[in-house]
Amino acid sequence: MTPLLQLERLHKSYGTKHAVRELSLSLPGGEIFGLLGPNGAGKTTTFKMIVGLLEPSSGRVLVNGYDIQAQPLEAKRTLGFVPDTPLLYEKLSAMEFLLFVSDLYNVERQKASRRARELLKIFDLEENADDLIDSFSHGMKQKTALAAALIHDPRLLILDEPTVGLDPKSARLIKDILRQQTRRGVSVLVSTHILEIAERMCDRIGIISQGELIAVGTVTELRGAQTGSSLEDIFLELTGGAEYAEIAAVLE
Amino acid sequence: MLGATVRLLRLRWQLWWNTVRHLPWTRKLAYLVAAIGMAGFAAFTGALSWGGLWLLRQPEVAAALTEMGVSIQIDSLLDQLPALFFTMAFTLGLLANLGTLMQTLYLSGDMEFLLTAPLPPRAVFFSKLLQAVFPTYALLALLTLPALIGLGVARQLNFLFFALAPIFLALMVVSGAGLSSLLVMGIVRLISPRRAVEVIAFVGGISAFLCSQSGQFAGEIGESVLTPDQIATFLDRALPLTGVWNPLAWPGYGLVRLGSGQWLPGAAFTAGMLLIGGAAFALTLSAAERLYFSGWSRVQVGTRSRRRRKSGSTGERNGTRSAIPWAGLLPAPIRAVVRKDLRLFRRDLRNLSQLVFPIILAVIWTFTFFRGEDLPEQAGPALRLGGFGIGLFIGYTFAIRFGMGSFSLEGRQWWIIKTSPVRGWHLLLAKYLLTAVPPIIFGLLYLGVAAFFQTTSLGVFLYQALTMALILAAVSGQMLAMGIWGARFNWTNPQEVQGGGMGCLASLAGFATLALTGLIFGGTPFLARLLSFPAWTVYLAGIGIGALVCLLAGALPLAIAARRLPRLGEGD
Repeated sequence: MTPLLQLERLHKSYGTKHAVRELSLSLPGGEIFGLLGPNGAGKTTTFKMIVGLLEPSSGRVLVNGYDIQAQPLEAKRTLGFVPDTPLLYEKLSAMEFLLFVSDLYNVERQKASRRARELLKIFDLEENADDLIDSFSHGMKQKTALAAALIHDPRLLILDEPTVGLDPKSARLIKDILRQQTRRGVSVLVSTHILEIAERMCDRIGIISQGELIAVGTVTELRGAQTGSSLEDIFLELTGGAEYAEIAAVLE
Repeated sequence: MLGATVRLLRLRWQLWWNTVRHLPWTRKLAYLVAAIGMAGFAAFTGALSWGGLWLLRQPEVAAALTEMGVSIQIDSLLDQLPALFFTMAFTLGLLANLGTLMQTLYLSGDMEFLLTAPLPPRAVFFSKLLQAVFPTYALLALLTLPALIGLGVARQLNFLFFALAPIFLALMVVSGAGLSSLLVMGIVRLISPRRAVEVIAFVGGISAFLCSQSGQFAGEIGESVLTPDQIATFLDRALPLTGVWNPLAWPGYGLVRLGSGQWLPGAAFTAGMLLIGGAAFALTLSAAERLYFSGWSRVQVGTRSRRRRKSGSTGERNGTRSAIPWAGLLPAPIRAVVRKDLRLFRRDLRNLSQLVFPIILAVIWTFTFFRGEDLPEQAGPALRLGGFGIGLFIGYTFAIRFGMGSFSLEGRQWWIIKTSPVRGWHLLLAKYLLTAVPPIIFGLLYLGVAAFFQTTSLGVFLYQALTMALILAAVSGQMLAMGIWGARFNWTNPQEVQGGGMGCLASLAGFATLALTGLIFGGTPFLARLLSFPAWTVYLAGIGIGALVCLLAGALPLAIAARRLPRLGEGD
């Protein structure tokens, strides 16, 4: 079975600086994969290369078997993306925005309208459907962006920090939606700083540091390989953050 | 509080200085040239003011004016002029600062940060106020101080006049701004700060443009702007504003009296001004502060229009029934991009203001050009060309605006289209339609109206309409290509999308195309008369060659620029 996402020795460098180094990864259908890493580790750069926002220096990204650079239209049709900052057209209403995105993905109009209404209801935005996005809070924008990513029924979801700025209810809602999506065979690649979310939500976790994928596996597998007992310990151990914990202890 | 205010102002200075330091040297040079130009302008205004007032005080000139029926008490007038200036300074401080205050108080993003710092809140407000009024003060100082200095020299006033003039001007501007801050909070109570800034920029821009053009326009409709009668009428209407009853005029009176050694009345007027102005300023500042902290000025009340759907939301209704009858023939992504761009363009008043300027100019030129009485009988062809030229100007200006901003308009939301499965040519066609259709429609509309009033023959009109459509289609292609090359997705004000070197290059390329195609299409009728071939063959050949040139001029740059599309925005 073709993996929904396959990264083959993905590399991105800016001059002498290597943002992502030879990253390889494979995601089968129905899996939530969490990409963890400290600030500046290369998570967002990786995501941008996956969704076609950035050209890799070398390596390939295959989405549902299609190369995102060579066959961008076929690859993008199965993708849904939510960036770390929900930058949306502020002068469109939520409904207008969702219908605009559905047109970009050639979703049939009746189906798009129905689905947009459903998604707005699920995300508790039904009352604000006709309000301009510029009047939305950060959380509402984040939920609108997620609704837009789901409107064309994608097979692969790429979510960069999807729970940042969300209230607990909305964060829980997103977790539930993602879980429900995976039951339908959708794969989710998600980055987060909240290790607890990663631990609870993700089937597998990859830890990226200085552009390199330094560990991949389930939480149990990672625990078995490392001495730490929690994901936080493993993360700090692998990314070199343990020393900060010692400093913090001294400061206390 | 003073120490904290100074610290905050020092921070502003540091921010400004860091920005200037990191500018490219070309921009620094441009600023230097602008500064030298402004200094020259100030010196010129000062000299003009001094020379003019010196001239007006000559007995011969006064006698000549009296003979012309203008009775001006020159010394009394000179006494009242500073009062008039200060009244204007206060009014400008009140009105011109609405936008900047809105920006600094609500949209700068650092208000919360500063208010949570261990600084007196009043110092934060005061420094914000000073920050907002500085540009207005600088502009007013540039315009009025040289005139005041010229007046002081002409009237041989003492040093106090020169030393206090800039201080009094600053006090008046700051007092006006104090009241303005209350107005700003009232506005924000009704509409969102972002929308308010758009409205203020739109109204301010249109007003400034109309004012700048009114001199030219007035000169066209009247014999002369400055007839003695008009001067007298202006003074009759303006000077009563400077009566002693008006506290805004007191600084002017105080200044002139202190400058001429009348210490007691001078001190009385100055003290009165300081007392009333200071009290009013303190009151407005504390009221604004209170309204801000209480949250009154941060919660909008029920005026926000909520469009309730009837049988479906607006988005759904607009989506199912397009305003363009043939739009259904286009693929959905093209329709989506066109519809979205039209909505975004329409909903941001700052975009519309850029389209209003060429229309206002066109109206003025039309009025100037078609005022038949000065034109000789044989001006028929010139009139027809005038209509064509103005129509082309409108279309050309629109093509620049739409083409250069076509991709930049996406802004930081470019990722939405870039990550979607939209074909490159779909996107290009959508953007081309948005760039070319409005200029052609507006240009032809104007041409049609002009042809109707000039009773142009149908043949000439059709020839002009066809050539205009071809030229504008070509220019639109060029502008769109420039818009792809110079796309900038990090703008904050729509005016920034067509700035820089690419904007300059686009203008040059556009003018070259206008000149070349104008030569071909304009030369065809002459050739038809000169050559012995049947006229229709010459016209056909002219249109064919012209169309080919237009196609090359429009399509070639577009084809080259289109290769950038897949990688567009990756450097941002």
